[in-house]
Amino acid sequence: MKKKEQNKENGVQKKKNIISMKFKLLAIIIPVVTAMTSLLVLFSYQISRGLLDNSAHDTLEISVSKQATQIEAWLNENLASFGMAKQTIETIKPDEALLQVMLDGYYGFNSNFEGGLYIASEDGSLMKASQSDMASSNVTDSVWYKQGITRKNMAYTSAYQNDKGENVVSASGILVDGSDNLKVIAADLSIEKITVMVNSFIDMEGAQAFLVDKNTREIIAHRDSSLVSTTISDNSDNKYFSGLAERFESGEFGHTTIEGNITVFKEISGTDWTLISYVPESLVLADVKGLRNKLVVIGIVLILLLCVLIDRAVYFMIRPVSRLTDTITSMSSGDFTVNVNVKGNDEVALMGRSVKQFTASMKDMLKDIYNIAEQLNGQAQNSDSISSELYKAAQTQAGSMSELNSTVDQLSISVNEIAENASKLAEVVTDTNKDSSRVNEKMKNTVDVSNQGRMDMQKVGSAMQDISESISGLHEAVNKVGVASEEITKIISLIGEIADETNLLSLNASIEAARAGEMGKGFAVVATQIGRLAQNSTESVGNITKLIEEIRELVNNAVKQAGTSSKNIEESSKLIYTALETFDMIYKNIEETNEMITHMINKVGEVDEVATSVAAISQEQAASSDEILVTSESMVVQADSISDNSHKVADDSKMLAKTAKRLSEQVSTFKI
Amino acid sequence: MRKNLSLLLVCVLCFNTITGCGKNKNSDVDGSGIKMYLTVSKSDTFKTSLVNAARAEAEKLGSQIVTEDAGGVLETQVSQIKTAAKEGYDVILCNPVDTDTALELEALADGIPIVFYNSCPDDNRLKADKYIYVGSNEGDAGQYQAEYILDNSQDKNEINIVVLQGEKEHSATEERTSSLLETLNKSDKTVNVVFKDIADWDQEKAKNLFKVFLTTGQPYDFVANNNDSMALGVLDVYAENNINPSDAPVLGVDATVDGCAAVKDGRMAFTVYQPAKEQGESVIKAAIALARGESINNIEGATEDNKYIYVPFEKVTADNVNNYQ
Repeated sequence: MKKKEQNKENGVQKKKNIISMKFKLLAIIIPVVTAMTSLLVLFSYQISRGLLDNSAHDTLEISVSKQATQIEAWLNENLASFGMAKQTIETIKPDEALLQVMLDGYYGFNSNFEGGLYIASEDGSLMKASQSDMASSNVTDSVWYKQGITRKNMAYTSAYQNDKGENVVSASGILVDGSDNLKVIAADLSIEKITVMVNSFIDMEGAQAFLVDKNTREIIAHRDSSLVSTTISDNSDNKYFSGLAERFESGEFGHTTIEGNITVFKEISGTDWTLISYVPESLVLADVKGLRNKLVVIGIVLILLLCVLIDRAVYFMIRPVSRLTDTITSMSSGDFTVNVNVKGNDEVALMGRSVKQFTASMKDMLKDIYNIAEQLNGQAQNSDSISSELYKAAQTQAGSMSELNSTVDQLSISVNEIAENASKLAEVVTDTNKDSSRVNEKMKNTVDVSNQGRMDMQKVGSAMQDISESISGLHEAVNKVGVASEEITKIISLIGEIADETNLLSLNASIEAARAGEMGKGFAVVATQIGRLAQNSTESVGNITKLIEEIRELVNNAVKQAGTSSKNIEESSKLIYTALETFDMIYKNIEETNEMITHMINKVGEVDEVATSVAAISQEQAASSDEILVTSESMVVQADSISDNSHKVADDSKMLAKTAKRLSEQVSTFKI
Repeated sequence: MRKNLSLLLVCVLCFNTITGCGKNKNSDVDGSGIKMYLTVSKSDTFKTSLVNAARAEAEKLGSQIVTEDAGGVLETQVSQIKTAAKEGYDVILCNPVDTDTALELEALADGIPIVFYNSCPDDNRLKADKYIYVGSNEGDAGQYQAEYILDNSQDKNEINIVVLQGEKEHSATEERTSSLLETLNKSDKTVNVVFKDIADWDQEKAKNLFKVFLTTGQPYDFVANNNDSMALGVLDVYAENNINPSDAPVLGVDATVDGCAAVKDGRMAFTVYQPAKEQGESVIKAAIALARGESINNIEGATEDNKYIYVPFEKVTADNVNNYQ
């Protein structure tokens, strides 16, 4: 449980370090969509703005040209009236009285020029309608006169204030009545009338218009009457007017926007006037700005909606992935108990299914490994104990072999002693050469016994072979060795009996020699000597018996010890076989001894030779014993090496056991 | 593959453009099979030479051309345009009686392209490669006059000027006068317009008006006229009153035969040659381009908006007057 929590904590930490796909997607999509939406809004705003701008400009232009046409028509209409009156006067060339009547007639004739026509002469006289209250001083200095003398056809003067302080324009021109006097005829039009025309008839909502003299830059008509008769430069503190002044300066009267006002210029033909109409751009663009704001709001709402949509969509798409991530994170920490739920048929589902299969196969595999590790562990423990036992056995064998070695050593010593004794016997037999007949008999017995001994020795040999075999088949060998040893004991005791009998025989021979008298005296000495020899033999046999007994016990032990060792049977067998061969040689030697004894019994005369042979054979026997000793020693070395090997095997087994245990532990860290 | 194709197309287009240009400059335009209908508002010396040049050019290029005079009557011109539309002419060459009627004329032409000449309709009545104007930039004429005046009054601070104008509604009147006055006003001199009236291009009217002016007794340094005819009227008054033309130089526009003669004998100081022949030829070249549905942008003097072809004015004084006779 704790481990799981730790894993979870690790998982959380990892999650903190990684950036979620959702945020990545949002980080890509939202800026792009925002930028595109902004572009769209900006683009549509700009297009709408341009369209509205143009349309406003067009509307304004139409409006202003309509106004201009109206003003022109009005001016021309009046000018035509004046021209007609002038033409009449010039044609009929009336005298002063008639002219006065005519001028009186024009007074109040038309509301546009209520004051009617008036005529000034270069001498400063003024003719006017009698009803007119126009001041008649300084006429030649008046605007209308000064401008009037620059043309014959009547045309409009610039705007000016008349003597009554009214803003007026006059139509004036030279009156050619045939007199020598230069005369100027003029009529006044009220600016107010023009102002009304300028301020009315504006087609466009929110637009304004005013009239400017393009030469003097004087404002002729304006809704704000305080501006009338001032020039544009007088109002330079007004940014619009200063912008306007720049346009007049540069003479550019095209499509323009001054201080946020769409402005249109139109010259009034026949005058120096320019009609200017303007409308605040903000007014025109109010709708499009509203549209823009709506678009921005809609855009923001849509983007937010998109955020939510993407969030949800990605959540649902990524949820299986998150689950899989958790699963894989758990798996990476070794927990295969996690369950993978798979729905759908997309790539993620496929991944999920694959992970599920992977988990399942991993589980199976881990189970198998675990089982195998367990088995291996058991086996390793088994082999460990087996090898321990083997080691112990090998050690025991080595000990046994050492003991066997010392035994064989002792055997060798004993055999040597036998050889010595045999030599002594040979000497004795040489001495008894003469006493042939009886000795022959006795020797025959001895040979028989020797034969019996040889056979016994053979038995010993086979017994030794049995021992050798018993190294392969341990139990049989033990028994056989036991039996064989007993047999040897029996044989040896027989040899002892024979010696006793020989002793008796020598006693008898001494008695016979005594009976033979003087003649038997030498023989008696010999008989006595034989008796002594027999006694010595008996003693030797006793010794041998004892030794054999010891050998038997030792061999018995050796066999018992060897029986515990099973693995190196072959090696041991070979060695033991060699021992057996040696033993066989002993048997053969004993047989030969028997033959010699037989020969000694048969041919007492040849006892000497026989005894000598016996001695030689005994020596050979001694040499054989030495060989056994050597063999035995090499067996000891072998046994030691077995022991060492066993030790190594035991170490390896332990190592194996440890490894198996570790494997088992490793496997157990996986949860399945 | 596509790249190569577009490259090839570009090459072909370039070649066409180059050869096209060359053709125009060599007057090597083929106008065969094109039927042209020319109407003139009211013949005068200048227009007659223009129309004659146009006719000669059309015939040279193998086009058929019919020329009619509306006699200054709008109704006559309207019926002429209707006829041209009915009889299936390829292009109409029109010197409008009243430039304000241009829209109506275009409507009556029923889709036939129109080359306006001599009198220029309002800019918004023109349409690129469809309804165009061939002429000289009238403003230039006024500007040239003003330049002459300023060049010859360097010792004066104050210039008194008499201006006689052409017909009131004529586009040339407005433009020649306003550019004259604007150029003068832009100078550092004080410019007094001592007389300014409309003499309807007419020598007699100009004469009468100038007489009236003389009665005012105003001083005057130059007499600038919108055309040569009016200048000659002024010179008539000079002759009657023994006024020395060098005291108050008289200026005209058009370099007509009489005008040039006056320049040559030293009575008239300055005129501006309005190249009637070149205008006539340009009118025909433009007409052929429009009849073929092509653009006028390869024709010399075409403006960028493909609405105007300007044939440049030339200054005429005693020094170079022989070139224009």
